[in-house]
Amino acid sequence: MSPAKLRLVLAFALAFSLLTLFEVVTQREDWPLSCYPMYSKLVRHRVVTRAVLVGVSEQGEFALMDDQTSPYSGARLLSLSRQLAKQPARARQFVRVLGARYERKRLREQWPVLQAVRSYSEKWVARPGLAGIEKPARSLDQAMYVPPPALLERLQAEEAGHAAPLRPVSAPPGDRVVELDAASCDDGCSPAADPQASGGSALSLEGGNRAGSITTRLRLERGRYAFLFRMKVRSIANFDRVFLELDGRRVATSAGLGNYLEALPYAGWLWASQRPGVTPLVLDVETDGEHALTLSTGSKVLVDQLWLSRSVRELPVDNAARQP
Amino acid sequence: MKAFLELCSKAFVEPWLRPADPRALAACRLILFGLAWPGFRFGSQAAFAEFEGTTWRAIGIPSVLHVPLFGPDALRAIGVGVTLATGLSLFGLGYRFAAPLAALLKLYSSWVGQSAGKINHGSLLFTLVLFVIAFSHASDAWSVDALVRRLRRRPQPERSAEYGWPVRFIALMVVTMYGAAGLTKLIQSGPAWAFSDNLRTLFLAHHFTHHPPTQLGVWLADYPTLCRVLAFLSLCLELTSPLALFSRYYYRIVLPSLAALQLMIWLTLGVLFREMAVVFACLLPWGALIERLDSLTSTWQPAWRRWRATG
Repeated sequence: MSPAKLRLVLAFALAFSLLTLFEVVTQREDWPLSCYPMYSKLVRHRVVTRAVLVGVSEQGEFALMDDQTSPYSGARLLSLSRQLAKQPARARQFVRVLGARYERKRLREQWPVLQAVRSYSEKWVARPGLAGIEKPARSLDQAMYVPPPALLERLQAEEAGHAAPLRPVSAPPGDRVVELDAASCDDGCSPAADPQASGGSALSLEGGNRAGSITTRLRLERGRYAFLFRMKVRSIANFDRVFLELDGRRVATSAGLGNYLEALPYAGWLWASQRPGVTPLVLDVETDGEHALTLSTGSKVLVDQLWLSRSVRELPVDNAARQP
Repeated sequence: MKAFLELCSKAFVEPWLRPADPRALAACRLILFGLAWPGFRFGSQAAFAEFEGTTWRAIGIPSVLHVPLFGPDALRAIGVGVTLATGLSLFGLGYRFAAPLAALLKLYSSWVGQSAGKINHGSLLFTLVLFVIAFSHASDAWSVDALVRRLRRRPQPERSAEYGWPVRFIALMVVTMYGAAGLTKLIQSGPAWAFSDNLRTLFLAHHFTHHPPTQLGVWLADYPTLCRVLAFLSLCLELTSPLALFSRYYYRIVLPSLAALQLMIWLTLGVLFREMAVVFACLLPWGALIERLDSLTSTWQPAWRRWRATG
């Protein structure tokens, strides 16, 4: 090796070492240079957190495979989901692209229709012998709704007024489907004809200064029911929030039910519950017998069906009416 | 002081001039480009183009230089380029052009992946090591280029420092990396990194967040003092690793110890730096192994010929 080449090689070697030292002193990361900070932070707490990401289909949650989230997977996907938990707008953009990529492969791979990606935090207090590791505390960090393309197309067609009414779909055995009629109307409520509504008519709640409400009485056995209702906003400029009372007691959080316009800004019929991407509201009916369900809202909305289900875990990915 | 500096300088430079067997460097070429070759999957990076502006954000020096993220088709073409160039480099065909191109394309596609939310530090060094091997004479043996040279009856390469410096350069990069990691631990956490329950908690925590292949970490966590001793030793090893460049004896201790540390990280924490394992494989004494094989061959070859001659 010539002396000139040796000098050149040594100069590159020295440059690499000095640049890395610069990164260390300044604690910078200028890819492909780095200060190599892996595991350099002190672990002060014994509470360990891990992120768990799951997909949501009509049948419930499922473990996402690398293929379904590619090019994001493993540690990169989990790290990203932690970052996105603090940036909801960016998270929405991300799942939109991810959902589109998933949908392109879905039919070929026979995957279920994806309607949300949920991120959970699992916490465990690190103990010798890994005591209690199999039962970590789990909490929902965020639910990112992925609008199913077929539903989007349907809503666009309904809004444009050229959608043919859909045939009702049978609800699972044991479920209660309540057709709302004029007898259920309280204040600020009136029957309204709508070709897409179940049976061609629905109840219109007025909203504005005159909050509208609907009360229906039905016999229910004690137990837990997923509560869904089919609704439509008159205009996307309206609010979509509806409140529910069971026997005069308000159910659900202050956010109420509905809450879908941000994800689905269409004046079309939809099965709603808490909000898209989140599991439907669960009603805890404590006694057998007759119970009163009241829906009230300050928004201008139409409602045609209530659906109390023993088996439904997630919102349906279609908007067809249900029949018992 | 001047004499000490001269001694250090001599101790540092002398190993770079040591002649080495061309086949030892060829072994490194096979190892490194063997891992770098992505097979016939061309589109793995192309998908990132769809996430530009959402979760894909340019990082590091390329972002300062305004290196663009190409569209999906161009990324797919780059993927084809990586497969071709690394494949040619692996087999040593047109190495002088193929290997630098392979290193450059690999750097770009690695940057595309690493700009997507998380830096994989394990693969950082590997990307740079490819440049070292790419600009060396690693195809002078065990390659198509070498075969062509032999068929053209050109002189065969002999032991030279040309075949030694790349491995020395890789060793320098490895110890620099570990030295930097040790210093960063000291800067960010101080001596508490070793003298607290830090490593013990890490041993346990990783059974929750990763999948360590053994229960060794859980067993070690039962002995807090042992955990502190191990943390102290690994910190000392990292901090003193650059000294290996000045002492042949320390080199022989430090490099295997760092490889063992990496292995322990996998066994106890479940973090596998696959690329680092490959980089360490390049630092094995391939020259000595090849010499041993040569001497074995020279022993049994005459006997084999005699046996064949007698039928």
